[in-house]
Amino acid sequence: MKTEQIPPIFRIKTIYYIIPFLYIGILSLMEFNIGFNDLGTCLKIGEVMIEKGAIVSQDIFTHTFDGLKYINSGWLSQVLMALCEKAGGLNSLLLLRTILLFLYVGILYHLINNQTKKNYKITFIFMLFAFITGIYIWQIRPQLFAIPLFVFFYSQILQKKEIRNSSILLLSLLMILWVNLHSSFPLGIMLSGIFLLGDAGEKYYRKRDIKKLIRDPYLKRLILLLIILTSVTLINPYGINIWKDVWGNSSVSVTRSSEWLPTSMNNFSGYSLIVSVVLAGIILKYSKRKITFTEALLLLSFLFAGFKAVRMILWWGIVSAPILATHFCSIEVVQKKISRQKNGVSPESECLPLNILFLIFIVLVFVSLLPWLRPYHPIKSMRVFLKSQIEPEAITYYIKKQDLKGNMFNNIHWGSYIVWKLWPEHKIFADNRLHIIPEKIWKDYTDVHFGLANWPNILDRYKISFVVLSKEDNKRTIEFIRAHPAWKKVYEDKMGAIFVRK
Amino acid sequence: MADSLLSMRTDQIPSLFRLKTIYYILPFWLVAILCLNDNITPHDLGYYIKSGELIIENRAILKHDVFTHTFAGLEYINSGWLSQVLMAFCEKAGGLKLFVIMKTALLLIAMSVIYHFIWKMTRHYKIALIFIAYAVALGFTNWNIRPQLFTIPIFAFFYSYLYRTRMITNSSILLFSLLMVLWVNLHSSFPLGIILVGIFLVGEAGEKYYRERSIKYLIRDTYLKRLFFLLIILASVTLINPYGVYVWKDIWVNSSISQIRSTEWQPTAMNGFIGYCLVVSIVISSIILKYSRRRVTIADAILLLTFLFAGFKSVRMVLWWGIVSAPVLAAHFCSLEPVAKRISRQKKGVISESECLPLNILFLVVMLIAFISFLPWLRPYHPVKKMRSLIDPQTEPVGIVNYIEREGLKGNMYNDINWGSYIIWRLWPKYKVFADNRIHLVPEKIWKDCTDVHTGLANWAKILDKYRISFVVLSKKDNKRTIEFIGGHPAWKKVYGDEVGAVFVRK
Repeated sequence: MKTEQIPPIFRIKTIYYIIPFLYIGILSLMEFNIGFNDLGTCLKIGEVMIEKGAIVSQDIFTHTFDGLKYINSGWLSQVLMALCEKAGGLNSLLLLRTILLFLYVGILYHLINNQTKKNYKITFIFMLFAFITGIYIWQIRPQLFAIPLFVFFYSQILQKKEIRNSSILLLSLLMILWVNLHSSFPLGIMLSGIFLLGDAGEKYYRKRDIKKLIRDPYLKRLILLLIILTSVTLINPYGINIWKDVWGNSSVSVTRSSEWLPTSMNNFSGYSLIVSVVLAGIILKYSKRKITFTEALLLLSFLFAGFKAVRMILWWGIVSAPILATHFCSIEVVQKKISRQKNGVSPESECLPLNILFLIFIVLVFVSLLPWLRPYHPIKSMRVFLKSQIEPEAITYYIKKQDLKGNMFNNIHWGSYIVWKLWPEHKIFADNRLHIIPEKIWKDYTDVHFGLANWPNILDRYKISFVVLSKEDNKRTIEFIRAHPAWKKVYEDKMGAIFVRK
Repeated sequence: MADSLLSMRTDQIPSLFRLKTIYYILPFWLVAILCLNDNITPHDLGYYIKSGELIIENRAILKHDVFTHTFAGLEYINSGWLSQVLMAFCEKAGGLKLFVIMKTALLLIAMSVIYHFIWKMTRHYKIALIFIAYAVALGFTNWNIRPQLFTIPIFAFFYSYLYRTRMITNSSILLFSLLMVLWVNLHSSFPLGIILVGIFLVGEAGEKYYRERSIKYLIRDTYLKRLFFLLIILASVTLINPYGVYVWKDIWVNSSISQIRSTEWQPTAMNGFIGYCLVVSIVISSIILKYSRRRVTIADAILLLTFLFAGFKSVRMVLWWGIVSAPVLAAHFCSLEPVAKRISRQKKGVISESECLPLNILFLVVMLIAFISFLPWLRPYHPVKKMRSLIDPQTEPVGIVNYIEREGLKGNMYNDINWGSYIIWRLWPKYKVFADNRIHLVPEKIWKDCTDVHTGLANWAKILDKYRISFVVLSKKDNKRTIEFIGGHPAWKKVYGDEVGAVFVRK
């Protein structure tokens, strides 16, 4: 059938519009993505804060650095997560994640769609580009709140040719929210700084006159925005110390956390970054549009950030997708195709039943994954939210059932989950809040984690009564502790094992 | 008079002292200085020298391990036997000093080929200097004295010839074949030559198909036929080696094991000099290609993409990315609008250059003095104390090996794997090592035991007992934790220690 004969809702165009949202929705609702990296600690801290009506600024979950004061920069996201869990358990958390990701997709879609002059196919391609490079968006953690904020900041500054008082007010309010939600807030300031520098460079290149630059109203507004945004970051419970924490957090995490390591071509995210760089190169090479200073600065800054740390690839994807989409539209071949389509030279025919079938199928998949319908899902493995292959569900159940006493040594990646399930009855050795662990405890932890020769001495020193180890992360330690006369295995499954002192 | 000397027109200055001469010399000087001032790092050099000596002595290729007490007698494919022989000859003829000269000569040959290539593409000495510096920056960390060094000039020659010459004559096929026979017996990187020919074949075929849209035309094309013929011949002559087709199997095994065990085979990340250089080079390439008015051919695109991915896939491949991308980028750089305008203005003599003769002379003299002062025979008298030895005692176990030799320690040794080659060079056949940098050869079980002790895992003492180790040679840099544990163990005592490491013996 010819496209105009088909009702708009069943047109292929509608499918193109819906797919990015459904894609995100489906992946967000699937259980294997829940990931307990630091969710458990966030939920429990949030609960404590709601209960006490005060921000938790010291450790309460470990027996190793119990009472250690730290800057709890993501306190607001912790409270929101705890409220969400209280309201509806994991169902609500999944829904929260889906809503936040829909917000991100919505704003980004709108931005790319505007940049490509509403070309739905190109918008769809570059949404995919952003998704592929943003593989880290799936975990429920404070960063998730920062993603829609970042996209909104970017979209606002990129699209608006003038910065009104209302925009300054809105961005300032959002920055206050951001600074209390997650420590990635400097990205908002960085964005304004890049736009300021880029625009100043562009204008200077054109006029070669510093005086005109100083008098430029847009630049003045950008400076004002930058100053206001920087100032409002102080509106948080720790004042200026929040900046110190950002520095301390990132410099410690770089040495301890795998997601802070430089990107290399040894996994999906590494390959996706490099392929995206090659694609970007090809698009920019053949684009007939001029690359502005701002675009160059944006691409270079976020490209370097992406290479510098795996967790930064996400921002590179978000920043580069709209720019590349605009340039893609200006490639000669693409331009010709677009104008042919606009002139109706290449008429499109569609298969209505196939369109309807496809729409029904994706809607059914989406609906079937809704948390309230999950217990009745036709695929058995989909009926649970937490996969026992990832989280130590049975191990924590055993600890609770047997009520193991004394200090625990645990695999650090399970720390957050154990806190969520067993705190306050049991305190852990350490969890994924890697940047707050004191150096000495970190060294001791890693020695046991990897099975270095002094592991028995460390377990003695911390008076450890039982040890919770993962078969994936602590393979060698399990081998050594199994053969040690002072320890015996009391529980073992596919995920890991528990050892207690004889 | 003084003023006229300080600002003279170029044509008033003798050719030898012109700025142009300095620009011509600078790339070669840069390469020579980087080679001459570098210390010898015997990563696997010691093993190669000794293996070469044995081959010369026995007039037979060494095909089994003789250097370790852990996997002695293990048969393997010694793919770089010819470079080992050459290295042994070199050491016999002039010791370490001659190694430095050999390295410098090989790299100067390689850089001359690339320089000539870039010069032919650009006809501009300043641009040639820029892109030689670019290739050097991406490669110099991989210029250790090892068999790979012999292959850099061969690779550069293959690349330069294939790129520039659009005709494959019988004599060039013969020359390529002879070089490939040499390459396959020198180092296992010889597939790079075949990959290059393959890329040019695919690139050229793609280009011609894009123009003519006819497969028949492609089949009849003489140049493509010759390239295809060259590819087959090159692949065939790789069998001219002592192991025949097994040399290919060895490459596969070698690279797949090395990717797991060796740091130089790890993917490149932005956490060191070479990682930064690679990322910066990509940004530079993108900018040049974006604004270049020259068409990017299919062969250019495949070359750049293949070697870019190779560079990201492993640190040791960044060297090839530098060599491959430099001439392509130089050609595109010349076609950038401002560069092209400047070049044409220079050619027309619109930009009159004035030079300062005394400054030029001074610069040349400084370059010459620096070069001479780094010559290996003069290194012992170098004003900078650190430069006086060819092997750095701050990183290599010179003192430790002297101690073992002096004290005549008996029994089996456990050694830091990165020092294995140096120990072989100095102490073999009196002493056999636990393992050395031929890491693809080490059997899995021994590798596991070696790394367990290396990192100080809980079973280190049991492993030392299992292999009846009498003395342990550890590095403070690589085996910090093992030193800590063995130092506190009642069965072991430290008998020697210096700033690089320590020796422990059983009590």
